[in-house]
Amino acid sequence: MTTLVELKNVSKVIKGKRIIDSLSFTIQAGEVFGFLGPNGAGKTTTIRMIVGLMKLSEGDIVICGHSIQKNFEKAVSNIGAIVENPEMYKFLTGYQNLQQYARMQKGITKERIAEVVQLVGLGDRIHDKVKTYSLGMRQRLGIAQSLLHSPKVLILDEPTNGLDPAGIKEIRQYIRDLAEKEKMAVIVSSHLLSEMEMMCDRIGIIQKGRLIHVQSVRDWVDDGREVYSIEVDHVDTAAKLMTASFPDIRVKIAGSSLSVEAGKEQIPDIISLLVSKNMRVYEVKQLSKTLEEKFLEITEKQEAVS
Amino acid sequence: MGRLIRNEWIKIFKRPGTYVMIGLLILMTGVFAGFTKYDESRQKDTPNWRQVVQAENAQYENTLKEATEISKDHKAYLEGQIKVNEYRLANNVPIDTKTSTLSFIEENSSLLSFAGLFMIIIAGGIVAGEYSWGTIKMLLIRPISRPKILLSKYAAVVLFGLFMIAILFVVSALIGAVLFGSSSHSAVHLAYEGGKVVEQNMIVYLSKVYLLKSIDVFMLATMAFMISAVFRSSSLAIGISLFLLFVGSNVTMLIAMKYDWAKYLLFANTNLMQYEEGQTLVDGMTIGFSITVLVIYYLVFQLLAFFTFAKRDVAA
Ligand SMILES: Nc1ncnc2c1ncn2[C@@H]1O[C@H](COP(=O)(O)OP(=O)(O)OP(=O)(O)O)[C@@H](O)[C@H]1O
Ligand SMILES: [Mg+2]
Repeated sequence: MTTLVELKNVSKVIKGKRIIDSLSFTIQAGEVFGFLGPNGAGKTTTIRMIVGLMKLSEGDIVICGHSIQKNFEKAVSNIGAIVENPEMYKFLTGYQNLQQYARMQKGITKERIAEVVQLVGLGDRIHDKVKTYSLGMRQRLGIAQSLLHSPKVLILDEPTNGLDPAGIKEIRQYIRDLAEKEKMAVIVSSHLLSEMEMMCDRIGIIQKGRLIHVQSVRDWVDDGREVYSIEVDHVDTAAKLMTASFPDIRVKIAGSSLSVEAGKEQIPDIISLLVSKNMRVYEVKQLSKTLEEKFLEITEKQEAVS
Repeated sequence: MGRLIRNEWIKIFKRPGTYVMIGLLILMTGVFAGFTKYDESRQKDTPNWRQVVQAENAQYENTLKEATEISKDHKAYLEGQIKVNEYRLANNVPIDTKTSTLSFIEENSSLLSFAGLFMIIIAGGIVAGEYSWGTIKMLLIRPISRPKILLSKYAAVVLFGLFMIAILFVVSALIGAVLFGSSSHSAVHLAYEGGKVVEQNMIVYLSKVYLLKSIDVFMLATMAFMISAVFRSSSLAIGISLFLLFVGSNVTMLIAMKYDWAKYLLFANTNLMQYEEGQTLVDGMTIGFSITVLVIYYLVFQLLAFFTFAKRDVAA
């Protein structure tokens, strides 16, 4: 795998305040990286530094082998981005806006412009003035603009902001496509976890300018052991039986039922064990924390520490 | 670079305000022409040009004789004018006693500050506008260095200024031709150079007048551009620059009456015509001095603009 984006101990100090505190992570080709954090965590600030809108106070950012500080033009030519809202020239049409950006980079043909317009589904409205666009349409135009030069790295700051559910699904789909088919590295920021888990490979949680947790979505959702509540007639006996047969699971007694932390594959075995010992099993249900809860748990834990 | 300038040009001309400016400039030229025509229609008989020239010379000679404190340069200028007039009489080169197309164009050079006003409005908005529209971040994440982006914007401002001046020139010529007609005999300009009277092409001469008279406008547009880039506020940039455009030279003149340091002020040096007539604002100023001062102001404006624009964090 090739590393396309690398942040090395990046910090940003504005007026003596550490807004970003030694952030380090890497993003590979073909990967969608979710940048998750509450309001004011520093997502947009980090993105501004990656695209060269803000200078770094410390550290360095390397895009496709070029430092954004030493070789801005080479580094940034590999990036397509939307930073916060995609602002466009309202007195120009969508198409004229795209032409503006096309003229700022070599080798963007008419056909390429038509292609991205097709991709984001703006259709005929592309020839209307941007001031007549809805928020969702402007978001689409923003995405078109970021894809014009077929960049290797795509950075989208809250891309689903303002889109209808169909639009969100659509964007999610082509973010996945861009990563998988075009082998792009995509950074998406959001404070909505549910949205992130559907399109990201990895999620980094940022809070108060620090990256407090990076985890692969698959690990989190699938490989993580879940908690189940099992209702049986004799909780004590059942608990003993289970710990004896499955040493790796954790069992707690919670009233008239058991709280069991186990892998999904172990559940049928547990049930047949209980049944074979003539225990009456009334209910087995998954109590597993959602990603949302894990996210809150992690951020709250961090809050308590700091 | 050409493509960047084209982008800026498109952004200027896709806004209706620009056409209002052009319309107003044309309208002003028309109004000016109307007044001139009206004024002339009230004049009964046109004086004989020989008499006018002779009267002029008598007045010049009077000044030379009576004025005690006359600078060497101004004296030379008056003597030159006398020579030119004598040449006219001797070679039968008449002056216009009525408004002609060419003299109308020359008179309309006073509308240059009006064209300048529009140039300043564009200069003051071209950077600040991107900030207020929020499009600055779209512009700066392209693989183009910030100085280059700013340079393309400045080039667009200069081109726009030249465009407005050209409009004034051409529209004046057209209206002048319709209302006043051409007078064949004034197609040359007489200048006194190196002790000799020389004939100059009138169009060349008029272009020179327009360009020299535009210096203050270009300097102020550069200043507006700088303020726009440094403070990201178009109203501040346009306000300060327009204020100076309209009162700057008068205030400078007042200061110059009392203090010699006035010669370091921008407006003491924008009028390079003063050296032609040999009457400088402060004694001892030379054209070399003025050009040096202008260049220094210009460089300071540009350095401030480029330095802040290139260094600043963009959080818009
Ligand atoms: N120019 C600035 N000057 C001072 N403080 C700033 C500046 N820009 C951002 N900040 C501060 O930095 C912190 C991070 O802001 P940032 O916009 O990066 O947050 P975010 O994670 O994008 O939030 P959101 O989810 O609301 O978009 C905030 O506390 C903000 O107040
Ligand atoms: Mg943000």
